[in-house]
Amino acid sequence: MLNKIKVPIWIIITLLIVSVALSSVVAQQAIKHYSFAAWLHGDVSPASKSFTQISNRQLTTQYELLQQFTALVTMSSQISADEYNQWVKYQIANNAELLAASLALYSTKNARLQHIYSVGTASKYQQDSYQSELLAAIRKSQNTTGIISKRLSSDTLLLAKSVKLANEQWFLLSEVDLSLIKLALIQAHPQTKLNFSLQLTDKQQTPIVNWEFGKLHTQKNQISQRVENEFFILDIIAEPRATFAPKWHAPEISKFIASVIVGTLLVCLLLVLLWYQQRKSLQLAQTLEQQNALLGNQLSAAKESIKRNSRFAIINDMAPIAAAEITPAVSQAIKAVSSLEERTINLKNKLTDGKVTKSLVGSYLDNATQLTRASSSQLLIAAEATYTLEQFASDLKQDTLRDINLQLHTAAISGIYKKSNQHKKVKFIESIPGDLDLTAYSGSLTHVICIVLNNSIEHGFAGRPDGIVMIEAFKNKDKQSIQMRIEDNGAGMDEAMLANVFATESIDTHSGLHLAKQLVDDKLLGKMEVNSKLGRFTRVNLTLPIDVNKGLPKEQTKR
Amino acid sequence: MKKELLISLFFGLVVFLTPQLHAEEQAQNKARMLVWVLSNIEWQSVPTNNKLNMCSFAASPYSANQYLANYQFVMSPPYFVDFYSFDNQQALINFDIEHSCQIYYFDQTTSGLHIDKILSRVNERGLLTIGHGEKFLTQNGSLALISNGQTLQLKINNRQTSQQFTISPLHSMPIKF
Repeated sequence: MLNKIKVPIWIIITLLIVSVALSSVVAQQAIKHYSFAAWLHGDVSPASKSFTQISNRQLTTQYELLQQFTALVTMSSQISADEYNQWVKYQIANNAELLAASLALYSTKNARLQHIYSVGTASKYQQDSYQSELLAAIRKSQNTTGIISKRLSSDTLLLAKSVKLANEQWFLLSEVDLSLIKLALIQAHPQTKLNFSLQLTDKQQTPIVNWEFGKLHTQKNQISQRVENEFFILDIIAEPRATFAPKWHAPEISKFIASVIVGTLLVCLLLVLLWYQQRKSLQLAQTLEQQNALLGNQLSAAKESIKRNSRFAIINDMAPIAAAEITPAVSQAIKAVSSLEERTINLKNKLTDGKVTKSLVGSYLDNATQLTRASSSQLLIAAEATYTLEQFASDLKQDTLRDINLQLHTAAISGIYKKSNQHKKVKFIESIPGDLDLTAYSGSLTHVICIVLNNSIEHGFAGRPDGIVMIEAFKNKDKQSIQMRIEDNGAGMDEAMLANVFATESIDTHSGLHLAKQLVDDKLLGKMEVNSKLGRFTRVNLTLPIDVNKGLPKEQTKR
Repeated sequence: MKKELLISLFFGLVVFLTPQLHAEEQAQNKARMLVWVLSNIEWQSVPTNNKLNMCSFAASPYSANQYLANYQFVMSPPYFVDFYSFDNQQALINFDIEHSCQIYYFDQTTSGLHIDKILSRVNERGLLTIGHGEKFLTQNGSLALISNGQTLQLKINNRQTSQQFTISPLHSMPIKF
């Protein structure tokens, strides 16, 4: 699969790692944002209450306490201080948000201020130093329906209410210790550098509380939530960019993102492994290719060596045959020359004695002419044999590209074979036109013909005293190729042998024919076919181009 | 001359009153912290008179117990707490013998005193002791308030365990009021 991808794998891995890193950062921000929003809104399980709910409850409780106190007072005016205390204690005991209660009750009937009851820090309003604060609160509450609020200090919020009944007027106040509420909120928010602000505004749009838990740096991406009730408006504005580590379990989305990140990392790992494996395979393939090339070179060298050795073997076989022809010819020539020398000395002696007759001289001259002719004839045979051997060896050794007369070339080769196989009575029938010339590598052509003839004699006529080898050649109709046929009437081959005649490079079976086919294919640019019938014949058909430089015509190639 | 006198008087008052105001503020904040802490303690055993006595040993006029008492009704679930203040150890011990204290508060000034004897006696009974500074925790106190500048920090002695009460996990970072 990776091979089909044209982009390098390391680029894909780098891109994946970069994308994972970026998605991790984005996911982290998203998780923070989501977690914080969830914490604020209370959407996350197992968080029992949202921070907004907690804040709202903490503040509302203070207002509700005053409202309930008002209801108690208006319901029954004949309540003793102990009964009020019991009521206050009940409120504290049954309200988790209420850490302390500071309440005061005054009668303002007939514009006369009379302290009725107070508990907690609200008791201090009986002191003269707080009279002005008290009177100001009374005046403000009398002009307003509902609860009024006034921030007295950074820690103190005064809530007050005036109630006017048919025969009674009351003024009720509650002093709220904001620091106690703040402590509860600090306990409720995570113990990290979480930045958010809490703003409380009363119904008259007067700011009451503005707490900042950490400094908000930017307005971008801020999360805000507003809660509005009958007493106040609560705004919580948070900055999700702040460091935030929720205590509860990661929400589902973060699990999903984490799965995506882990999955991508696994894919990266898999790709790295595949890349590594591919690289190893590539290295192995390269090594094998190198070894293969080396073996190929060695094989080529071995083949060349086999060819060379095969040619040398042919030369080695031919040399004694040629030598056997040269030696008697030279010997006959020497004998003729010696006889001529002897007759010349006799003639000279008779000439000295004065016994020379005309008929004697005539006889001598006739003999001399015959001996000279016989000597010349024998020397010509030796010279031809030497030339043939030299040409033969030169062709095989050098394998030069030259013009070849096929009749003469074949005759020279077959001549050697005739002489070397006289004992077997192998008859060579040659039918090659004298004008059949071709341009080819002479050594390779000699080599091929020698192999085929050698096969016929060595294998075809094995165990047989005689045989016929027919060599014929003719020009094909295309005039650009020659058809050469070498056929023997030897043992032949069965179908199995014939099928594998070129299939092996084994040195012990058909290696000669395999080599011959290679030479025909590669060097002579021709075609070679072998037909045979067991016990009947073996026929080798060679199709050779007239000019090796041009090769075979297309029609011949297709066949 | 008169103007210079007034300026000197003003600065003198500032120098005199500033530490007093700061001490008052600190004591108030400690009182708030104590209210918060007490509300986060759950008592297991029931005192005989169905209430808890918090006995404070305070030598300073600006003590948290003074402000704590102003809250009047403070709960340490499930009981309300009565506040008693003593300026010497013997008076405290005598009260303890007679009325029994369940919560002991040693003010900043007294936490530095030799309170080992009374502390060890209280700890044997598994009662709640609140003091000041890290040293108080090393003396096997239950809770310590640590003030550092404008911040106040609560530290719980996790080594101390009591069968009579359990303290809820509380915010342990320094708090600025």
